[in-house]
Amino acid sequence: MGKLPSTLKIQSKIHVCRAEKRITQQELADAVGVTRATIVSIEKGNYNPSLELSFKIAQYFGKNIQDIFYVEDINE
Amino acid sequence: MWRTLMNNKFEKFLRINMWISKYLLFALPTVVGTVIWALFVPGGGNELHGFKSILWEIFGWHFMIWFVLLVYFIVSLFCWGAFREKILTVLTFSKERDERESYISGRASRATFFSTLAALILLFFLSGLHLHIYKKPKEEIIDGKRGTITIGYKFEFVNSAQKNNTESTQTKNENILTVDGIPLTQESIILFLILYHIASYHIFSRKRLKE
Repeated sequence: MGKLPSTLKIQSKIHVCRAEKRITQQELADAVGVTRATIVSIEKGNYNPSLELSFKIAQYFGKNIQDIFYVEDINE
Repeated sequence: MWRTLMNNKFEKFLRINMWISKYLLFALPTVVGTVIWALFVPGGGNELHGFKSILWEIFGWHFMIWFVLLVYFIVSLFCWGAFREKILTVLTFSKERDERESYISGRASRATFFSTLAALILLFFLSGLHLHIYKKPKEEIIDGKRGTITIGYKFEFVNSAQKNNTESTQTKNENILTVDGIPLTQESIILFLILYHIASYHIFSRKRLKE
């Protein structure tokens, strides 16, 4: 088994999904029960959401988690 | 049923305490006013007559009630976890509206804990430090060396009223610098620690929130 990268950065495609669905950050925030600042932080990649919030966001867009969140390997 | 009854009582008690805290805050200007007035009233208010005397009595009783409630408030703050959390959340402008803000307040608490601990260690070190730099009188000079530095550390569990005799023996010496513990009073050190604790938490959480 290969060595796992020491640092992982989780990026999201929330802004793409929002654009497709034509909703604002505030609307998404209200739907999943967080503040707009949290959505901004997740979109910028500054905050890694919990598994629960990730599932909520994915469910809201009717997608799988992997379709919205992906891992960016910093070591690469 | 017993638990529901207790929860209801608990809620009522918490609501009363919140009202008391609001009263303490909003009545503070009146209390300060009373204290200032007391500074200018001769003979402790005994020489006042008529309306002024009645007013003096009312403000005096109000001051006493306020002070008793303040003692109750501070003891409740120390002993009652839920009340403490509710009050200090307001006092430190702490917000936990979602998981990200809970995460931030957790990080801020950790950073505050460590920085306050570091400040306490520094204050502990400074409180016991004794540094004295002086020049010996000419008759005590040995090998032409006049300047002397003494450095030490004292630790006492209780405050002793006995003064150190070293002061009297060193009066002949030409003093340059003497550092003997922290010159601040106990009250100012405690106040500094409280303000430092709140500021440290606040600055850290603000920094994280801006990211």
